Amino acid sequence: MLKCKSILHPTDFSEYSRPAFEVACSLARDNKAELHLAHVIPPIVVGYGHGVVPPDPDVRRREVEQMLESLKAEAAPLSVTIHVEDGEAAPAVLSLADRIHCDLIVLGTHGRTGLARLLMGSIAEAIVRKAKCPVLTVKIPDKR
Amino acid sequence: MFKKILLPVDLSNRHDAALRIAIEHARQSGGEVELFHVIEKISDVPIEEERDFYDKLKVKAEKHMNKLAEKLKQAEVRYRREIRIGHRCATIVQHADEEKFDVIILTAPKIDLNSSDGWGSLSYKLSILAPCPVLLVK
Repeated sequence: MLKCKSILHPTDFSEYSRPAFEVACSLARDNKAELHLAHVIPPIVVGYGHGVVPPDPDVRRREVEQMLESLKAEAAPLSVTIHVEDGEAAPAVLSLADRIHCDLIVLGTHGRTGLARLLMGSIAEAIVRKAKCPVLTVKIPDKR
Repeated sequence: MFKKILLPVDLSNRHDAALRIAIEHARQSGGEVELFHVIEKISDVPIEEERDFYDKLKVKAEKHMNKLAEKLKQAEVRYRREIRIGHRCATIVQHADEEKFDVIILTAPKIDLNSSDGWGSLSYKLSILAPCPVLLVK
């Protein structure tokens, strides 16, 4: 029996995440699952110099929370929990997946861009490889 | 939500979890599962030159797929079987594209993070190159 009661969808709010968000919502609906929407705020790297002001982390966090709340509203009436994590994206997502004991991670990927992709590291690849639970990768549909 | 489900299989016995999940999705959607096996082509040797060799592999693959098909039959899920000769990854990607599958369900090997083994496996390549969503079952 497919046990899929908790679905994690990490998003970077880009167009690549959109199809994955829609698939995650559909699966949550079909399985009556809890949907976890997450965004990871990467560490701030600032090149110090005259006139450079580091971004305010609290402001950034509030923006992210608002964007996640907006996705949560779109997903209604699904049961949705939002998570704002800090750190490097892949380890943060994997750690969250462990903490919430998710049954499935639904990830947006950048699609086919040739064999060079196989040799390049990416957040999605790291999650796909290291996750302990099943991972569903979803690409942006071809615009052919 | 996935009606056309592609389940690539090799001749190992490690597909139970992927098959179970494929059955569950097909039941949920009223969809169909295609068991798909690719016999890896020997590079630079025309298929006709090694026809007997490929035929033997095909018979072996058919026997193995019959066992998997039996489980689909028991679960009352519609299914198809397909065997091709070619490069595994490219053939699966091309087939998924041509036939407009909704999802590919695959068994992913467990990776030892302290070893380099398994990192270039078919399942991880497919998750990057496939035209449709790919569900990797661990």
